[in-house]
Amino acid sequence: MFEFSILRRYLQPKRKRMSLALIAIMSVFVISLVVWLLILFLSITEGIEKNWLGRLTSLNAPIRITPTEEYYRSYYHLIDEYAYASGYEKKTFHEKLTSKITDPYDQTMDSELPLYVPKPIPNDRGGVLDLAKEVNKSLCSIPKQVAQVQFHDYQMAGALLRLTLARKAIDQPYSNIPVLHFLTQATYVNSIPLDKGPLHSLICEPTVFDINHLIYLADLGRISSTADIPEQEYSEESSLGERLFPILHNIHIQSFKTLDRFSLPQEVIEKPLIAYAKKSRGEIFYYVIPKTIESKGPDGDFVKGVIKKEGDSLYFFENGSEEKDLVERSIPLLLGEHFSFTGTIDHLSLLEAASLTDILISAKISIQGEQYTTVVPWNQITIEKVEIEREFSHPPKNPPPWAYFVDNQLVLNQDGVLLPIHFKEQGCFIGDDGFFSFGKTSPLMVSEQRKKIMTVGFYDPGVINTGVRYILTSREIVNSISSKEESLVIDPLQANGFQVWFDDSLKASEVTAFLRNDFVARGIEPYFAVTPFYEYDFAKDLIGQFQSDRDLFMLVGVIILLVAICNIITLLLLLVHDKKAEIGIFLSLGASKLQISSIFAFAGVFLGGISTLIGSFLAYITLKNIDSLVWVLNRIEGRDAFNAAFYGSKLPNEFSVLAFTFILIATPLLSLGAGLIPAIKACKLRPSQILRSE
Amino acid sequence: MSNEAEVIFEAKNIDKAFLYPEKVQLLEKVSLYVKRGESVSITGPSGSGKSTLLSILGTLDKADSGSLFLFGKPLLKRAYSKTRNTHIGFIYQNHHLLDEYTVMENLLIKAQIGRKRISRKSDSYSLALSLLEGMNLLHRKDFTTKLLSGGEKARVSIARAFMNDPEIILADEPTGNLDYEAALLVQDLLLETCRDLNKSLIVVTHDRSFAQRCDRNYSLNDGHFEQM
Repeated sequence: MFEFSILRRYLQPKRKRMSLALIAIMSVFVISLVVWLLILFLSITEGIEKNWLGRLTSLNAPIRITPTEEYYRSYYHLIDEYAYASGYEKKTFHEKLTSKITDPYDQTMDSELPLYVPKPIPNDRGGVLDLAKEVNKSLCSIPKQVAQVQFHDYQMAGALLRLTLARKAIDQPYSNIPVLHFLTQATYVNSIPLDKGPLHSLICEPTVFDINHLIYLADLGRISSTADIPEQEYSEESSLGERLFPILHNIHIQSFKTLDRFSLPQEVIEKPLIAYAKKSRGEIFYYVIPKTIESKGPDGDFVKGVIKKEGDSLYFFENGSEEKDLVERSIPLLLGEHFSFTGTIDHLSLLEAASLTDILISAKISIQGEQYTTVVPWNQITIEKVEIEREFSHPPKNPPPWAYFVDNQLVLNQDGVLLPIHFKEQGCFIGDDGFFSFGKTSPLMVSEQRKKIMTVGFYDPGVINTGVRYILTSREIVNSISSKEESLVIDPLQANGFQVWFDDSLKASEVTAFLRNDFVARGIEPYFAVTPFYEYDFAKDLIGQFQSDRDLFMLVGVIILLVAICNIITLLLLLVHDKKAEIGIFLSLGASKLQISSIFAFAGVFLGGISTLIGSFLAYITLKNIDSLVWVLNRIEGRDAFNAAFYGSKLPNEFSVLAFTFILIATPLLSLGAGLIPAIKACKLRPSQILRSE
Repeated sequence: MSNEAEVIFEAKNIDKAFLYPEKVQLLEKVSLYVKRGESVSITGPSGSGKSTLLSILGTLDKADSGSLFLFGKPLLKRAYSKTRNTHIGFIYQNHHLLDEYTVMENLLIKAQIGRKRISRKSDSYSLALSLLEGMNLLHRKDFTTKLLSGGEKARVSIARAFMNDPEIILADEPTGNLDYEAALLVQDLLLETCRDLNKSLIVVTHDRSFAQRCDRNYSLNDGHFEQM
């Protein structure tokens, strides 16, 4: 094609047109740079936004369906209080959904209804419209093309959480008498569906600290209490081994670690060991054995020497002295640092143990380059690394005391609750127990009731400011609180409803529109409100801010792009000037103005396109290696360049298709616009004048 | 050429004036026609408007008033570029060849503009080869034109004019920059090729002997035509 063959000639760098080639290279370089920057920024922003959206909607779901005041005034809701078949108690959505009866009222059995109870809402078949089941049907009818949704009904109640934190005394690591702390917090108690769903991904894995804490609690054998100041009650019904078994059966210990003031048994030492003696007025109180020969000795009044075995006894040979001191059995040989080691539990000792002191571990410890095999009691060590079982294909015979999954079904042990991860930062561990306190009102009195609970795990509630107060637990526990709770702790409009999840939060508007239309068609629209995440009060501002940031940068980016593209205009105007004679000849040979202008328009698009590809490729490479870039930036700034609280633990590195599409369309279009200016100039050339002047 | 041959190109009442710095009426009610296979020469003093007239006839310039007819039909403005590509061949005093292109590319570019195939097996390529052979330039076909002599460039220019098989050749002082012998050769080639291919020729020239060799001769004086 004529236009392309000429374009190829014009864009080929030639020595004669070196200045033009340089301008072309500069233009491509600058536009590539802008494209790189735009894609990089938009990709990272999109990643951060997605991350924040995920965290915003982690607990509340992208869409929430809640009953309106109209629902609470409806016959459907009120009738349960007047019907024997409903036990004269209001029903939750879950109960409504699982109930076979839509209208429990029986005129022959139940008393006459008060005047404020309205008439039932009829359905097509003349019966009573089942509002909860209609919502369920509507959710089931969402086409897969719109979104692949998961939904469940939720219940929420308000209660005061009171946790008892039994901890080791810091100055007495081997003492069996715990120090008790109490944690009190006003909370929302939410039901978590047991079927595998999006909420399950929020549950954190138990850590080695949780396991050590569970072992410590098992050793204590304390029975949880619902009393305000719990007396230290101890179980006498089960042995320590039985209490430890559910824990040990579901973990794989990889290594142990010695505690502070770990004392090495004298029988172990066969070869000379460098040691530091704590000596005062000629009397030795204890020895400190460093981990390696090169290790620095302890600070303070210590004497360096060697412990050697002579006969059946150990002697300390002080450096620079010919005297030796007998290492008496009563003087402890303390290890200078924490030692990691592998070991196996002696099962016989486990079965008969009354406390951790009785459980023996066969340990292989490396001291100063030598391997020592010894037996140490568990109370002097702790688990360092452990693999924790959380997924089971069949119900475990010894269920672990943490939240676990059996064939994708979440199992929370009896009284088990999942606390927001913030509780962990407050020093809570799995195994900490306590109770929910909630009020019950009656015409005559307001009383307090308590429900025993135990921490079985933690979850990440995302970034909503009330997330720290949401506790997830089984529906039974929420029920036991909400059926009694009559206070106004929770907005009744939010206490019960449906949460709707789908992979792509951006589809929220589409799903919302579908549900709202479907609710109108089903006649249930006055009774339920469909709220997408961007209408949540706590999310509106943040989402708006993200949008503004993106728009602003997009605008700045387009302006920079325009400036960069001005280079193309300059280049092509120079080219038109340079090729004026040729253009005149082409016109005289019958080239149309469209053909001539196309050459320069295509040149603009070509330069823009090449720059887009180069910039996009560079952006892709940069995103793939974003960690290295962050590392460089951190080194330059001498601190963390990106705050983890805002950007997440890792800077997002997913290539934004949206940004790429925008660049792919915008850059060639702008380049085409840039090519049109010289194209128009070329069109306006008058061949007769050019040829005459040439 | 017979008297009954059809008029293929006609210009009627062409007016052209330059307004700046002062009004100069270059052409006034100028009319001419050319029949198929006929050669017409236009002579006149320098600045009489011969080249401007040729540009208007070749649709490269606009007349202030007047009409052009091709095969008896008015030539519409929107068809100008296509007409230049398919019905008209230009030859210039300065040749106006594409310096960085080879001789062959200079010829084929006209076909390429007309969206014709230019591969070695194409009709356009064969035509270009035969034209170059006729101009005795076949051995120069892969030379860039900047390497050619003035006479050779003139012959390439003539060959290019005949590409796409046009009906009319418009030549503006085709021998103006050549020595006598080369000029004579170019005249012969041009007239013979036109005669052989039955093409019409309108030639602007100062060379009276060349003008005399054409079938008809016009003289342009003070914007008016006189048939000699």
